[in-house]
Amino acid sequence: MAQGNRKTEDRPEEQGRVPPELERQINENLRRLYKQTLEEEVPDHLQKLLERLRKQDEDEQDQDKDRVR
Amino acid sequence: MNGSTQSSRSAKDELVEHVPALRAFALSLSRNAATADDLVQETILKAWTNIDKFREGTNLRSWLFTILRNTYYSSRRKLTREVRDTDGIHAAGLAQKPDHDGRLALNDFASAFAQLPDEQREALILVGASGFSYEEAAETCGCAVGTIKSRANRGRQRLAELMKLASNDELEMTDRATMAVMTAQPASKG
Repeated sequence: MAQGNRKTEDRPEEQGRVPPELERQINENLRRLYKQTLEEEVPDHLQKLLERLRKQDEDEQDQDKDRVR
Repeated sequence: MNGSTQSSRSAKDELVEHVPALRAFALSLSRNAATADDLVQETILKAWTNIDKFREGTNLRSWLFTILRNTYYSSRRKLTREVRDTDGIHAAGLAQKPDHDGRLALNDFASAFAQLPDEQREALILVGASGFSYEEAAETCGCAVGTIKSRANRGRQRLAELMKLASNDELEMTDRATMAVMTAQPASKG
């Protein structure tokens, strides 16, 4: 697979990384952004979805057990 | 049947633990809270019904993230451009040095971040926030490691531009006060 555009990588500003301090700041901000959602409580409808799926599985397993007997 | 049922069940049990991370990743892609949760919902459903495709012992989070991003990109192909301008994200007023408590408000960063192209946001969130290695991110996105690296680099450069901290020159020319404020970051570890 080709590694992107040759000419893009030849341009000096595309080659370099940002200064390490800046990269650190950016990562810090990215983590904070990400963490905000990470620490939220999982919304009700998603929890209920998982419960519903689990219940479905249990019901199917019970049906399987009955069939085996 | 017992063997595969056992391993499928443990992945399903583990799934709930990844929901917060999925939500965070979804939000970085969709930039809209409602869409993000729709994405997560669809991902959970797809993962659950296709759990037999997950190879026990491999990275479940990576597998889930892959489902989510694929769902995002295919839904985006169907949508119009209106999703670009979500949650009243304003580009104006970004290019200001911090003037209050010594940090660029998270809002400003979020606004800048939202302006990056999808692939750059994705790469940055994976390697910069979700704790993925470049290799894991490459696998999740179905591309080469070099591609992830260049997307992440371009994303950071673009962010720096947007936050007006573009180049070394600008950094040096920044006045002392701002310099002090910008480097006075609390050394908070995740």
